Amino acid sequence: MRTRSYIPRMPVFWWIGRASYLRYMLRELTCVPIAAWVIMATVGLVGLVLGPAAWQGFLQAMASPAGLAFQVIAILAGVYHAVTWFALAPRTMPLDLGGRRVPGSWIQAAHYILMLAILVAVFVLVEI
Amino acid sequence: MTQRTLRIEIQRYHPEDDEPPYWQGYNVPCEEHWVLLDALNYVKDHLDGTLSYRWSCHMAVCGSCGMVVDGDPMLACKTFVRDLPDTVRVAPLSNLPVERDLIVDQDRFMTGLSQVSPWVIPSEAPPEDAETRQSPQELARFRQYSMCINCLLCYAACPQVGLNPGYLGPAALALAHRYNLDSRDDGRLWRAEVTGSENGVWECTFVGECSEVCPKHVDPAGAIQQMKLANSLDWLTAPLRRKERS
Amino acid sequence: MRTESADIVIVGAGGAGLQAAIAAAEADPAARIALVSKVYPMRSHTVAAEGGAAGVIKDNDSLDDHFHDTVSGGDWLCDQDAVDAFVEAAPKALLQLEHWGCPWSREGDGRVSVRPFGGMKNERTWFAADKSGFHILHTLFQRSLKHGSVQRFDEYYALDLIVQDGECRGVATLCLATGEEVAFLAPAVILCTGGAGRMFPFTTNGAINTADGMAMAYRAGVPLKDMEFVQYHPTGLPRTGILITEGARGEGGILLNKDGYRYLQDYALGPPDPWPRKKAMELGPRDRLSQAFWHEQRKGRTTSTPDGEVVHLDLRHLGQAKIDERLPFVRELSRAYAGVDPVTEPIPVRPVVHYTMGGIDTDIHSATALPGLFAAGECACVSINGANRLGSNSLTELLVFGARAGRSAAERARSAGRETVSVDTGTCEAAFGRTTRLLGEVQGNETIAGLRDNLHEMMERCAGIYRDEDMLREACEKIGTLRERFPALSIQDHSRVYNTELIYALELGSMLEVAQAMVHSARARQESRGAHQRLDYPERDDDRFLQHSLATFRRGDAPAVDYRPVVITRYQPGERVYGGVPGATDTKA
Repeated sequence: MRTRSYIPRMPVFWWIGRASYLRYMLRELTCVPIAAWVIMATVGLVGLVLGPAAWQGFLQAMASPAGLAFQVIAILAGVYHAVTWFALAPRTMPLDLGGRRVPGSWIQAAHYILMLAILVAVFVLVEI
Repeated sequence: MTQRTLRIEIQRYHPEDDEPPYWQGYNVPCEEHWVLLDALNYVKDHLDGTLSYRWSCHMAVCGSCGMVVDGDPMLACKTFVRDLPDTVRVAPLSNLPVERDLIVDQDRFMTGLSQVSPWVIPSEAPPEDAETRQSPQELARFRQYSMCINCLLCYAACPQVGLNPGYLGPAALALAHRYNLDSRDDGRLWRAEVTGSENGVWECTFVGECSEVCPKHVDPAGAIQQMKLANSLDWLTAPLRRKERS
Repeated sequence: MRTESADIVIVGAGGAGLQAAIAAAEADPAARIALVSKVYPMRSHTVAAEGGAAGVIKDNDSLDDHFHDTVSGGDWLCDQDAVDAFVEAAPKALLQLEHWGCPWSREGDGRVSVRPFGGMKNERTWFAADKSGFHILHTLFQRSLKHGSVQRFDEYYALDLIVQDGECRGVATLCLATGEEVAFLAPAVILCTGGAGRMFPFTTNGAINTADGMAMAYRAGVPLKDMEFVQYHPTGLPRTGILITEGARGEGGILLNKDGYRYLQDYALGPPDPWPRKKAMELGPRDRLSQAFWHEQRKGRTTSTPDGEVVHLDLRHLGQAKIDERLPFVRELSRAYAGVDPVTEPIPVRPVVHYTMGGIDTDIHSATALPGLFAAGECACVSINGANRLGSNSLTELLVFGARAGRSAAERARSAGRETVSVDTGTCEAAFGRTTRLLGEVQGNETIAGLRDNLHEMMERCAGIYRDEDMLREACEKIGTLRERFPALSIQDHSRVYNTELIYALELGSMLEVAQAMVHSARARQESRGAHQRLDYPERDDDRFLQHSLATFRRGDAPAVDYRPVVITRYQPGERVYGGVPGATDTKA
């Protein structure tokens, strides 16, 4: 900056008005419902430890309209977060096998397969 | 040759006057095949000699003519008039200080470039009278990241560049990655002092807009995430290296 | 006015300037080097070069072959001692660049790959896909950042040399960002300011190639050598003049006229097959190919388009895979700027002005006749390119002679000692005189665009691929008139910060001066040789003109044109033989 340069200021709502920035903010904001869900799960855990009454109270709260709405939002946030993350994964970890570049779609698919495998495993564990 | 009148509204700024930037419109008769740069040259030659902007090669390889066209960072020499609406707003690159009209201060980038040590740092001296062998596969690993023309469109697109004046920025970091991936180089840990610092790759939150606007498909966003991964792994394996050294 | 002291000042930060800076820094780490450029280094026009850089590395090649190709390619106007030094230094210079990280394309075994190029008997052109100049420039620039002794002054426009007591002692510049006058004082100055293509309307050259350095040396009394030799690159895109590399022909591309006929076989470059074949057909030298186009156009065998007459460069038979691997930039440029995908359609091309063989007269150590002044790169004329440059010799020339200039300047600075060079205030201030009138109150009626268009029209018509006495006489008269009109030029922008209109006006002034040297030299050379072809003197005349032309500036008058014999050591002038069948060679002495 030599003479009187004009320094543009970033407006607080810089992310409004451009679709890609909005999508980015939405992706980042998913951390809020997800963090809240983690807190909720911790509360549930505490409830389990405290005894059947606390646990029932927790389950009732979860079954309430607000509780259900919250869980739906959290799931949607989690899914959006996962989908965007998986889509970006190939660019974060390019892989070369046998001198050839592994297609990005394979890396993405591997993420989904792993996620599904974990879901299945958890489900089986819970059911046992 | 069909002509079309394009109304170009350009952000003007004269640092010697005590006025903030303002818009000035010009009606430009454009040929069908023109790029925006041709229209700007017409303005300068025939309408207003006081308009200042940078340009040189007119073939999207020198990186001089980056500007923001209706909100999108673009190279003026590769923006075809036929793809533009009848009225278009042209502003200088965002997030960087404006020196005059469409000319921004690039010092931040030039300094950042020096800081990432963008030269080959070999672990041993190269052969005297022969080339260091490098297979086509090894070349392919970093080639993409060597294609940056330093046009700074990515700086205009990146909100972190705007929010954090110290952030090194996409192009400088992508260049560090180019050298990190070069089989002739062993400087990754050296560069990590800068790239892994608080103004390095960890300022990036993967908005990804830099890669969207890059005219050479360098994918600086991808480069930065890869560096984050490498940086993390280096941090985890640091005890092993300390063990090796002692 | 501000003063900067240095040991070496380099004007121009393209391939030659950056190499000179690095070489000087390595030769003398204590030397303070000021690298001054009117644009940021990455914008220098080296960046646009595509095809590659020549240097002997393969077993089937020899320095002798490179020497013979270059001298015959230059129609024997090359100084052979300089060519010998050049071809010998070439491989090392290119290897050094590889060690510095240049991403040269490779063979399967990891060795550097080389491709065939026009006028060359063997493959020796090192290449980085088809963006060789880009990669060379960026490698050099990034490497230069390692040297703390190189201090860059980006966006400073050089106005004039500061000359005192018959020595060059610095450069007067204008800082674009502030409008401040800055005098760089040093015992050694190197000009690496590039070519003069922008004095023509259709050129591969960028906006910045406006002969500024040539004009500065010229005004200071250094002769401009061989200015009449202007290279037309055979394959530029119509209208924009964008370069389509010779590498496309090196990979097997062919040129077709409107009948789909490979017309080059009619111009002593055939037979057409086998193809590809070195030094034949589309791999002939650039001057011959451009001249063939001119003849085809006269015969009505070129294709008419809204953008003028063209021929077609056909790459379809190479296949998409090869095009994407070896010529991706060509594909990108063709699609963007000609609307044609070379995978499926031939590219419309025509000759466009590309390179200035002539320039500031230097010796083989890059020194000029003015003590303290050196020059290298396209702005200089050593001469290794003679009357016609072979493709891919120029990028190597930047490295070899840029380094020589750096070392010569370092040597000069070392012997001059570390004290600041002294210059009289009057001399200094006079050097800034060029801007005073333009920024002043005088309201002339000439415009930059008006004068520039007149210059372009005249150069295109009168100093093109083929010339004759009438055209050249008209050119000499017209350029004189243009120079007389120049003082009446007025500009609208009188500000100080980034006044690009002022710079355009100054650049136009440089071009007018150098164009005058060019057309007078052309008129004086009454023969056809290499890129200088005269309809009225169609033959080469070694008795009278085996000499370099030297145009010397005379204030208020046309330049004086003198001659100096070419240095011939071991390759006597013969016939330039191209085409033929494999195994045929030129006449060798």
